[in-house]
Amino acid sequence: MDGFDLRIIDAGGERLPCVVRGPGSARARLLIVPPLFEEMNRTRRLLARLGNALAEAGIATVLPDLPGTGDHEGGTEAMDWARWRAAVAALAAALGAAATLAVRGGALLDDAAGARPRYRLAPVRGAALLRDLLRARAASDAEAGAGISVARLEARLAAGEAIEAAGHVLSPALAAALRAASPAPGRSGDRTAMLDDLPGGDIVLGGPAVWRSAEPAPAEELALARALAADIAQWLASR
Amino acid sequence: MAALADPDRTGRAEAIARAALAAALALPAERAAALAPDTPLFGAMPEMDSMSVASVLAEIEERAGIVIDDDAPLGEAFASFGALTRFIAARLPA
Repeated sequence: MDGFDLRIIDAGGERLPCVVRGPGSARARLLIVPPLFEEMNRTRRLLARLGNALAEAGIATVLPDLPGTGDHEGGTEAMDWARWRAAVAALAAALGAAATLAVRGGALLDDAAGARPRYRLAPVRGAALLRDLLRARAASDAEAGAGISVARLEARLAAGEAIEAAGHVLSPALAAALRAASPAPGRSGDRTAMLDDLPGGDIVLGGPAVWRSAEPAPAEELALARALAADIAQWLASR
Repeated sequence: MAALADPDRTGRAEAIARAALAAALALPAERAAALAPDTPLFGAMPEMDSMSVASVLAEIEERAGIVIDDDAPLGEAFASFGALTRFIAARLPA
């Protein structure tokens, strides 16, 4: 089942472009809270394969473009932490989502969906994402011979200047929110999947860290999508 | 520097280096397994550029639970797999 719908869903005053997969009659609707920045681009194919595998298991998924990202019509100024959290909250409510599935930086936003059960894949702290963005920018500057260090970029943010990094404009406010953000603590019944045996995981899935690499091995990525889908389906059924 | 000779610490650092390179560069399992202390990295591995160095650092940080500071000697660290292992071992929490 490889079909999907592209829909604009109105929620909380936002018009959110969403990829909707799975049967319309699905008993469980899962709101995917996507990874942030460049990690989302690299994870897009995994999420498509995961959505297809979940659809085969009778589970519908909704994958939104957060304000200011993807096909959302807002520009850079729509990339705003409070707007992202409000969009997750409003979309979860509008869909009547049974649970959230947060991937990487999505775990910094999934608690906005309230009491809904949370499944997380490789959650990450905001400070680590910010460091990655600034390092990527510093690396591209170094390749261009400019030699700008992460510390210099941090200083420019602190002085109120927006920074362009890995194709995204990072405002000082967004950088500050990111730096302070940690995944909300898991509650009883929530589940976290990790690729490796790292602290905080309920299950170790193995497989490629697709959010790191521009070209993950396709066969391993498909295997990861299937393993994830099986674990998510079992988790949902046990609730 | 006694800590650097600790075989357990070196073993952990090597495992982290291998896993981080494999994940960040999407290395096939057999290439990740073949990494030896004298395997050259930056300038020798086709996947390795300054962007992927940033990804490898992020993977190391996530796996080791450490933060690598801005002025760490990266040229030295990425000279070889053995150098990267020593770089990590020196920064691992006890």
